[in-house]
Amino acid sequence: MRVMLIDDDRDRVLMVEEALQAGGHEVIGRFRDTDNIISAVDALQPDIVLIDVDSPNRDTLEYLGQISRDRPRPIVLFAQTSGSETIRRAMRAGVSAYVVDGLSADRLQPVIEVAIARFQESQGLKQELAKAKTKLADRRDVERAKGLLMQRKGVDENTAHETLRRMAMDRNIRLGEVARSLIAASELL
Amino acid sequence: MKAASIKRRHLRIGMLPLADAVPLLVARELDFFCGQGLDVTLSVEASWAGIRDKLATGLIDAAQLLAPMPLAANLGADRLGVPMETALVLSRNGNSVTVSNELHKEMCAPATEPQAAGRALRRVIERERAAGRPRRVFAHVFPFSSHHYLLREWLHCSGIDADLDVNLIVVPPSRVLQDLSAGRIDGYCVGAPWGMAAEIEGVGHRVLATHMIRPGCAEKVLGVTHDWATLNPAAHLAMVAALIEAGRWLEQPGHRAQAAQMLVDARLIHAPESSVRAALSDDSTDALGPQFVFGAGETLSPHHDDARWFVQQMQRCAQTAKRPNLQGLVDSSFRLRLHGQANAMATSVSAPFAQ
Repeated sequence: MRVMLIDDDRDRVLMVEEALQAGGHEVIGRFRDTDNIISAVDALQPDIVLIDVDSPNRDTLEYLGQISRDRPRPIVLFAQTSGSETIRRAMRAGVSAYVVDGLSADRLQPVIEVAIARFQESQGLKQELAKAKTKLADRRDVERAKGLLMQRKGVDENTAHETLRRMAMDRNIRLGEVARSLIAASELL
Repeated sequence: MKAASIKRRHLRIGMLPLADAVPLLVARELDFFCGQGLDVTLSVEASWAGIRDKLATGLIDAAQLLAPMPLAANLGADRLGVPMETALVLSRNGNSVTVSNELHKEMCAPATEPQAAGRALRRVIERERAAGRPRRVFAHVFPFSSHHYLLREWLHCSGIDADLDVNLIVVPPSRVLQDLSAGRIDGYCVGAPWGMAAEIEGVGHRVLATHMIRPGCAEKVLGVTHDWATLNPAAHLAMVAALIEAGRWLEQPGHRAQAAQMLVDARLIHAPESSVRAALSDDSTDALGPQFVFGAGETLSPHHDDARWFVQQMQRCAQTAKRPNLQGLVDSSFRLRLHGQANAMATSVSAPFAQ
């Protein structure tokens, strides 16, 4: 099947493209949200368009589906061609599909499933990366805050760490955040 | 009675970053939702298709919708066909038609009202057709929108065939300035502040406001799915009541400037700040201004003449081939009785006199 991708996330586009090609589908175009979608659809005549759920261009695609009388255009894949649970999963993963009228649901399903899986995967990767980054930043800032406490209050490392830990528990926030607010306060003084 | 019987208290309401989403912001910032026993999160969405899909699949509880959208859903014309309904008009009026500097010059800078602008555009179209030039391109925001139908109405009344003499396309509001200045479109019918924003940025001119075509046309509504409304009647009424209070508050002197400040502070709309403030200005000397109505008199009620007009427009531009039971469709989509019940619960702000 001839698939068009509209997504600003370059890594995700690559993941989806690889998986689709492995499944014997042809990715005929990759577009960013700022590109001219109407002329792209006109020129490429895709069977299916996969698009980021939160793309403003979805309204433009919706209109192309409305005026599909004279030539094949993408239309929205909805409850009639697929169970609404699939749609919900797709929306949660961040992918929407627009398909040419008349494509059977069983041909579509695998393409949509691939997209859902890859979009979910990319979200997972992003969350992991963000978590790892926070962890690193926390460790660095806690060390700095401990140093500040030791210097200002003349206490040893263990006491400094204990002080920070108690502050975090009292305020019900993470150790890293306490450290950062302490550093910010000391920069003010 | 009202707070005690609400089963579902935490609600997510979807909205688009537009000037007329302001009643939702006001209801949150001034605690009208809290006052009705609700805890509301506003979810800013990117497109009307997106907001509809999230509403239909239950990812959000309620949503700011274009007024024709519940009717399109109930007709199945949106190809989704998940039944939706509204008990509240969030805003009336608010759109303008803007053309590029180049087309404005070709139209010889017409008087800013529908007839003069329509005549001027028809002359340009006839001249260019004779010269074999390509058709002019006009944008609106969604197939099922007042923008689309009012643009068609204006073209039709000006002797211009919307299907044969021009190209109509959909462009998201956040993209219209860019597309207009790049020459991809020649004009657009879009809500405030995007008409005035074109003038401030020097890329186009407004030639008419849609309240000159159909005054007081229902613009945005608060939509829920029929299933959700059936399961959560108390939360539905409380939500509508809170937004009625917000709408009334917006009609009181001086309040729109405060509301404009909320919009600016929320950094929702990526248009010049002065155009956002102007969109909510009390000053009605700008005839091309949006002339929003948020809550004067009975205007928040989902009037059935609006619904009937929308269904007619859908049939006129072949969005539905159905000949529906019009009264049944309108009754189930625009819920007058629910509105009346919610109106009786909206007691924290008194109703202003009708204008």
